[in-house]
Amino acid sequence: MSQRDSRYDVLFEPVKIGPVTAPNRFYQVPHCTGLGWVRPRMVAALRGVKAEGGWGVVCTEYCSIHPGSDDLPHPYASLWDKGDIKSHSIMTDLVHEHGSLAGAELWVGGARSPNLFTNEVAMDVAHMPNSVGVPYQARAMNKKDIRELRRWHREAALRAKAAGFDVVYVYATHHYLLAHFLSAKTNTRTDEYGGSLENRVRLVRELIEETKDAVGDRCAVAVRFSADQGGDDEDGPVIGEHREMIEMLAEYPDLWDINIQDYYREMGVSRFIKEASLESYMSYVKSVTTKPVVTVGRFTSPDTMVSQVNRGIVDFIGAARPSIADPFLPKKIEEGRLDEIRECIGCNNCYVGDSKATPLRCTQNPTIGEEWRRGWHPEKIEPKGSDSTVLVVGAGPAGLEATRALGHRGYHVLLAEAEQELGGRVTREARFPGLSEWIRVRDYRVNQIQSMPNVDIYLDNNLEADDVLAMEAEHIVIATGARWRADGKGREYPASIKHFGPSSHIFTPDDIMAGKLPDGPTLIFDDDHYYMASVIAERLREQEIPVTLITPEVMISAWADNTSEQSQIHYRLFEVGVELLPAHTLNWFDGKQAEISCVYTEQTRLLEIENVVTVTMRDPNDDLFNELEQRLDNGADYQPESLTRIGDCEAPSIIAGAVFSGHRYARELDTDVDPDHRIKYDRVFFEEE
Amino acid sequence: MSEADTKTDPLILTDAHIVLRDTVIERGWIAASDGVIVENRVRLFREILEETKDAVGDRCAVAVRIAVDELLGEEGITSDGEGREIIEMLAELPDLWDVNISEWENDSMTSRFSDEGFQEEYVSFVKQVTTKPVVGVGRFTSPDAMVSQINREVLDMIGAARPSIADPFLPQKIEQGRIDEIRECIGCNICASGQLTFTPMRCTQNPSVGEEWRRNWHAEKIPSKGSDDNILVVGAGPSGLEAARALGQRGYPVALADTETRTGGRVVLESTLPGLSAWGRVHDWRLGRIQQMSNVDLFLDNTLTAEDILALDYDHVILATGSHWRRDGTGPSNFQPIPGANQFHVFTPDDLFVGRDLQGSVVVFDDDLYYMGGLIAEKLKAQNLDVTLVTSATEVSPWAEYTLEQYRIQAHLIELGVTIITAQNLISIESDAVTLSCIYSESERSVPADNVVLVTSRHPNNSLELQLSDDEELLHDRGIKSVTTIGDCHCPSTIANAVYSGHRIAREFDAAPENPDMPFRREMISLEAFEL
Repeated sequence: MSQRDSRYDVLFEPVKIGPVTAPNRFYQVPHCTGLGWVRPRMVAALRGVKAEGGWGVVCTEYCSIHPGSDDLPHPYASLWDKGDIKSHSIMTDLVHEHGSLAGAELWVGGARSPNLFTNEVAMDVAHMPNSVGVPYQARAMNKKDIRELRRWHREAALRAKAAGFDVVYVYATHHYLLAHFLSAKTNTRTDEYGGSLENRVRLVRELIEETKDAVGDRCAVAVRFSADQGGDDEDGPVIGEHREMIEMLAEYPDLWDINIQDYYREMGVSRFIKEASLESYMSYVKSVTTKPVVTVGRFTSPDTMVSQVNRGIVDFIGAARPSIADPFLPKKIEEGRLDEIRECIGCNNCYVGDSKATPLRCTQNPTIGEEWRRGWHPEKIEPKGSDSTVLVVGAGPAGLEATRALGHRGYHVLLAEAEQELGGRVTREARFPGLSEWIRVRDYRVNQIQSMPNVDIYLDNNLEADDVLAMEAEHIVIATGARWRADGKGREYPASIKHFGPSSHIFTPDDIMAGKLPDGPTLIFDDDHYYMASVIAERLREQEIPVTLITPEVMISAWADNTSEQSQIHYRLFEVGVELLPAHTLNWFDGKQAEISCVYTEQTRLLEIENVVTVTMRDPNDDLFNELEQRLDNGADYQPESLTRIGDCEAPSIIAGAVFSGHRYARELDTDVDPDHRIKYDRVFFEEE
Repeated sequence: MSEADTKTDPLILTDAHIVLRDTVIERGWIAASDGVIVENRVRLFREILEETKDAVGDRCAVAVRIAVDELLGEEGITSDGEGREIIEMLAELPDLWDVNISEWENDSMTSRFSDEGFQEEYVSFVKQVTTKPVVGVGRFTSPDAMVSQINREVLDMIGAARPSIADPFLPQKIEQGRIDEIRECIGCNICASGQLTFTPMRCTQNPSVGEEWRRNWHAEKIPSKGSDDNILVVGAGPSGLEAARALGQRGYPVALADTETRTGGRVVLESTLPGLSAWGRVHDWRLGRIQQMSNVDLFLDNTLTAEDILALDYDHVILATGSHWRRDGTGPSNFQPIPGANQFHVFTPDDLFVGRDLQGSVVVFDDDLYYMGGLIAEKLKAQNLDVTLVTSATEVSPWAEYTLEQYRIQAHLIELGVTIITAQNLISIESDAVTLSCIYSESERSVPADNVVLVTSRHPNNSLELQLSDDEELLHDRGIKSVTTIGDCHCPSTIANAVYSGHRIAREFDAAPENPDMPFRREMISLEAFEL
């Protein structure tokens, strides 16, 4: 084992947080998982693996204190009753098993939580509309309601303690109820909870005091708080009265978990926001409190982490996304295995889980959320089940991950790639403006594979069916990716666009990635709705090509709403001068003009454009697979034990889908998986309390 | 084997929405070599049908659910084209045909865009081409319409989803001749929003739906009163009516007072908006029930002050005085009042309900994002005004996506000639124009406006609450045991929630849940089999 550089030692110092001590400075801040109270075993196992990987503190997601705060469909955690205590104890036991602390983020939604599940009426600082678009308002809390809320919070803190948590939060940010009390904009009260700064901070202070009183003997009380007031001016972030608030409360909690008002910066995608982006907002906090401070910043570089600690910015390295991409990040730094770190690429596919009320996924870590239901571990994998050789054709994300994981299992793997470089689509896409960090998907895997003596890589090797069979591998895996269609076929056109030509004026994303750009005014037809059309628009604008982007969706890059970047994409395209026409579809194009129409009214208009880039759907590159299947069916001389297609070659999807597909293939080879029952399911019960 | 086990239940193969249709039968997605011929495209469907009969047909009927028309004209399946061909081809194979139109927003159109029995023109051919029983839907709530469907041989069975949610006892009420007790579906599709937001279903007419197990609420039965206390309900809108009705059913003496000369509150006003007449059923059913109750007294045209209430001799007071639209424009996009909102040419929906006539051009600013903004624009357009609808969302009435009507609302408004401006916040109102700001870039623009209607958020009519709740001692002296607010007066919300709020207080009167912090049972994940 390699030796750790002593300059990283500081990251492994124990840190006292009130009555408890964290074993090191790695702190998994509360983060959503798309699991919550709905899927308790999946989430417990996920958090347990984080502790095993060396995170000194591991927190829940936002955890409701009472049925009056219900955020379904988004799967939050809850501490409402004895059943919840039982569910959480599974997590705290697993976290404690590895010597880490478990934290519970007690949460009250206010006007952000419409209580669609519990049917309780939401309450907030004043009468106000629901802030996520549901046509139910929240009502103003009266004095009795505030007393009730304090009782709820206290009782939930006691339940957190009973469930074995070591850190209990007062959650006063992210535009939930307590943040509305703090803000002069939303707090229009005229009683002792409104008006002056002291009055607006009152409820948060009371909750800190009461939580300490209730559980402070054994649990640390953390406060999650925004360092700034919101917005930017010419001098940078507007800290405003938030500094005063933190000064007023400085020594009340045992720990300050600091974030900022702008959620799109705090958890911005790497396309727009880089590592350590919160520093300029929160660097003052340590100067106004003696209590330990944690913040986030998508930290994946140990040097950045050490710098944050040594310069006195933070005491703990907070992380959500980097701990998802690599639950063993702390352990790898501790053991000097820096080149084994699987760095977060900042694509925010993890966040989709919360947006869509489904278990989270990660582009880099295909095992996330699968710890319990499939028994997958991010670092460990069963040794090979036979001495077979596996041929993997195609070194894109699916092929690379299959190769890496098969290699890890000890199989002899032959990886053949037609191009001169590895990575497939991820190498090409990482060259688009803003996407450079996506190359980490390739780099991590290539780095791992290169140290495996049992993996042979063949570049510049375009295999045909004969070549494949001649290699006589026992298992053949086809990972030849997909290509974008040029005829407009997609959601809008199940067949194709009828009058669409000439072909020399029609481009696909593959053309753009190959460096073949249009000349003259160009229309991008986005029927894909994720990032691709928008990065192409940016690329063309770099070349000063006039660009109009149309999409049948009502938003530009509509699906990117789920990765929290939709508004940033829209604004970026506006900034670089792309003409944006949402809610429009393309009717025809003749090389000089295109007719488009409104999706609601079919009202048409003509655009003078010379080129069209179609971003609609992809077809698998499955000729090789089909040819092989046919040969084998027709009794070819060499009959392998299996022929399988994975990744985009099976069904074009996101990169996370391709990595998952490659990983799953490798996991399941020579194992006893029942294809009809691949995962363990939760069973619902009701227990009379 | 129990009796239930030997019962023959239909097993349904679903083809209606997108399951098989998009992937197998519809032409577009099939490469020519796989079979443009209908017969080939139907092959998988036929195979599954035959295999299901083979597997379970001895004891289970096998039903087919299929859309016979997609309302796409030549581009899709039509009831006089392939829809008919497919049914003819498989006519005698299933034991029952469950037929409808697709997609879901066509199948379950709201009452705003469809009438009872609206699917007949598409599905009526089916019975002519099969001898098997046919079921279809059409938001049937009228027994006469149902009988007519059977007698004219359109359907053999009256299919229903929404009417069975609004009134699970609809069949029994017809059977027993209690026609006037039917709680008719209003076709608002709040029920569909449960499916679309991954949360339990609700119903405007039936507050007990989904609560049968977890709160032990029954659609028709309610426990008798728990005391001899009498109750004053102030306000006869949806929540006040439902509270009075359900308390009356429990046997309490109830007085229901309203300022107006009629009952119904907001639901009667809103049912005058274009397309919403069926919403009046919320009021009609409750008033009809209450009128049968000798223990509920109605006092109309009766404005009660706090002094009046204190002087009256009631044990409990329930305030259901509703809410009003805010005049200052505060809402999701503007926490502070919109500058200029206090001018004479700025209105709210409440002004328009009382017959306020506008002249000239109108900008309607919708920051509420459900149906009201769009309907106000439609109402004004019908008066031949020049109407511009500005919304802070990227589409008109975005929450109506969840009630399956967003597309129709926006298309309808464009068709009527309403100018639509999306993704803009309204940031100030001048004497003859408004200033808008793009939600993405904050770039500003001015739009001329002789009148402005603000549809942003509502404020409870809570002055009685504020006066009465203040002095507990005084209440005690006057013998008032409780003062409670319900419905929009408690917290402005949908009509469904107002009804729910009224129902809940009636249910919980003298019968509070054992643990008020956990007032319902919850299905939890079993941890028994936990292993790692």
